[in-house]
Amino acid sequence: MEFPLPTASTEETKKISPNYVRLSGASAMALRLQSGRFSRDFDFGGINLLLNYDNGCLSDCGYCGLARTRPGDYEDKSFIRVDWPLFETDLVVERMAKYAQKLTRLCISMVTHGSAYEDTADITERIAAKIKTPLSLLVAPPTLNRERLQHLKDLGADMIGVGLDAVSENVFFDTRTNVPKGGLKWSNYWDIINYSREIYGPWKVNIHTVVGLGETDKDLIDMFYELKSRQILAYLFSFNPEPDSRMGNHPKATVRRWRRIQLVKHLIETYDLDPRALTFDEEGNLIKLESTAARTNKVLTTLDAGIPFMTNGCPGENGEPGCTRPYGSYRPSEPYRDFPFQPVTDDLVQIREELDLENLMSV
Amino acid sequence: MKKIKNFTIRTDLFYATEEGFWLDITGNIARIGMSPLVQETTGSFVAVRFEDEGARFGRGESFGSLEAEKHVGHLKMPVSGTIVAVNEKVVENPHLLNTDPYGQGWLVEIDMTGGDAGQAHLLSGEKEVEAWFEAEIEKFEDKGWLAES
Repeated sequence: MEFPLPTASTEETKKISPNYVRLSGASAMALRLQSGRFSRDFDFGGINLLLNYDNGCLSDCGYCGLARTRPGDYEDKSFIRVDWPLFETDLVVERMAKYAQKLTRLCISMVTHGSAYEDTADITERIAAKIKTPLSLLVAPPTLNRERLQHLKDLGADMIGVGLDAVSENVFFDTRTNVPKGGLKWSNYWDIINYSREIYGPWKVNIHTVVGLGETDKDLIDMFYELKSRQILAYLFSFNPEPDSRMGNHPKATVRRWRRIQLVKHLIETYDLDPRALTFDEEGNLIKLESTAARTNKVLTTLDAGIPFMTNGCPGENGEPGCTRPYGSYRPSEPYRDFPFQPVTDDLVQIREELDLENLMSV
Repeated sequence: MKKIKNFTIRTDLFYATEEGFWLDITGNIARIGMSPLVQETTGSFVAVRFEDEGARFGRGESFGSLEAEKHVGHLKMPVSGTIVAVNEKVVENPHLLNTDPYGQGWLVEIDMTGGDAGQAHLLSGEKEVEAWFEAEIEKFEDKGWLAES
């Protein structure tokens, strides 16, 4: 696949990366570049930057707000349903340095574009020169190779995220390969995952996995076991339909399914849940969780104080939740799909109702 | 109109300081809107909902809800009254709350007839409104809710 490079005149006249970046709304608020507040008060220090180009992302994924064939100009497009305001990169770096004490994790999100690698390297250097907060890169595999991944590590990135999103090859093909323009390759994504694992090491690579793109529960759970065996992190996202995207009318996963996936993922990753404890029907739906292990049963009783239902994201310097993406997968008026803070007692009561565990364990 | 820092505020209106609303009162009818500072710190609005015309509320009761990109909350009635008009334009385009909070971004009109006459809590007067607004800006800055210029 080839991607156009911007011309010199374009770079001079347009507000594009590397001299400009988009920020998530929450990040812009945390850096005091935009006014605002959250519905519930909590510490927030995960700053997300997104590369910006006048011709946008050249991939065309069916569910993504930045998709090439989604109607509208790139500048007006939302990403995970919200606007990402545009700022000068140097101003963002300056503010990150000013508020470094409260920052937990930084992340640059690439898009599929011919300049994305060079610009990510440039911005990584600018950040690493002034800020010690750990820096992740959410990479666009078509723009990278082994050497480039190594170079980005040398410049200061400590973790790599890969937005695989679709956890089965079939779903990946349907949503990301077999598209009107800019199809992506499953094999290319796995090459980059494998190179990243070699270069960045255990638990330094994460794969974004989305619930609700058409995969089965078994697809998801098989992926969690596979990634754990390779010491790769799985980060969970709930599909949230982007208006006007090709999957804009595709339903979200039910809250019950979502909560059960969150819980089982936690049991696998933290408590080595025996795969034989899980029963699926012929269509791959999880229909039974049978646990005889005492420590697993304790989790089912206590819900592990809500930890399984918190946002999956790159950690801060001391292992604390670093990237929490508040309201990334749901609107503020909807129940939290993933919590950017530890759920409190009332939240746990609601989560338990949503899980309907008695039903899952008594089939 | 008075310019205070980056905000333009009308000092000829009444303000419900706890709820963050302005009230333009003519007789028993009050048009209610959102203080420019509250709209600024709530963020970009994406949805507004009001209770029906004819519904009556006491002070502090919810007469609707609003949702911004990172925030959701109830609209709490600043004085007792009956809704006699809702701004359909702002329902269709909630961003009017951000762009024109004193004009097209008004919320509802209420009839205060028969209420508890509880309007003494409303703030008015140029100097009083100005002082309150300056203090509010400082408070919101301390909370980290305002962008730094």
